[in-house]
Amino acid sequence: MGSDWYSVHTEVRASAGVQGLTVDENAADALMDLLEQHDGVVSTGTGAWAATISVEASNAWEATSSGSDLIEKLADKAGMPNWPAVRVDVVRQDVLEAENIRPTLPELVSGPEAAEILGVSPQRLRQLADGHTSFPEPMYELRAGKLWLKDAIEAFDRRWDRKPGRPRKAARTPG
Amino acid sequence: MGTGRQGDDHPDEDREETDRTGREIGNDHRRVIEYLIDNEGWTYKLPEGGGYPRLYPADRSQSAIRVPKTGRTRGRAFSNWIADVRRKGGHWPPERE
Repeated sequence: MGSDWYSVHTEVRASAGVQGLTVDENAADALMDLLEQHDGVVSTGTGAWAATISVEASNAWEATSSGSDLIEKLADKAGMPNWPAVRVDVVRQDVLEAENIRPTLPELVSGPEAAEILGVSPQRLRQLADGHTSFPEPMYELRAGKLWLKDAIEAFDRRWDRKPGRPRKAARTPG
Repeated sequence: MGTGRQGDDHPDEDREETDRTGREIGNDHRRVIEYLIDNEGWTYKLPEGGGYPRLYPADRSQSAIRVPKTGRTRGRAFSNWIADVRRKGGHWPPERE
């Protein structure tokens, strides 16, 4: 059976009530040194630290076991606090690299841009936003205006059952 | 130092202005860090007594990430490092295609 590279991320945290939540920065630097040949990176906070390395394994289960064992062993050698692991994330390296190039910020559009996508006037857009039951909620409402997820506006455009002509005004009660 | 709540603050609470990156780190890391400093409120510190540079997320509940030094990283190491930046709330790459 062939093997692949996997990225293994382990996060540890001090248990509740533990005294001394500071991670020795020299120990963390020593762990960086020890993990260098394993493509490692270390992060430290108060009462918590984490490390990521790459390991070669035949599957994700094996990578989880060998990677977290290696991190634990080298962390102990470096003098890192022996706190319990609270998270282990494992992902095949090529999958991680594909994820890494995908932007994490969603694409947002303003009112005029949303109107352009839908092919309506800004005024009609405001009517839709205020009155159409399935119009998406804005992600943000700023002083300068609302921002929507572009995907949500495009999805609305696909499902919107447009009625030709001008929208009917609400019926007035005779006064 | 280290007097805060568990896992929800940075150990270097007294740090001030962010340092700027220099030749101590590689170009790939520098490009990401400069973006995060300029656009997302992250800070960067180069310890005076040596040791690895540290990158502090804008979200102070997140841990500081150590930055590998120049010439000491390969492709997988950079991927692991970027994944950690993203895990801690950094947006990279910054633009959508």
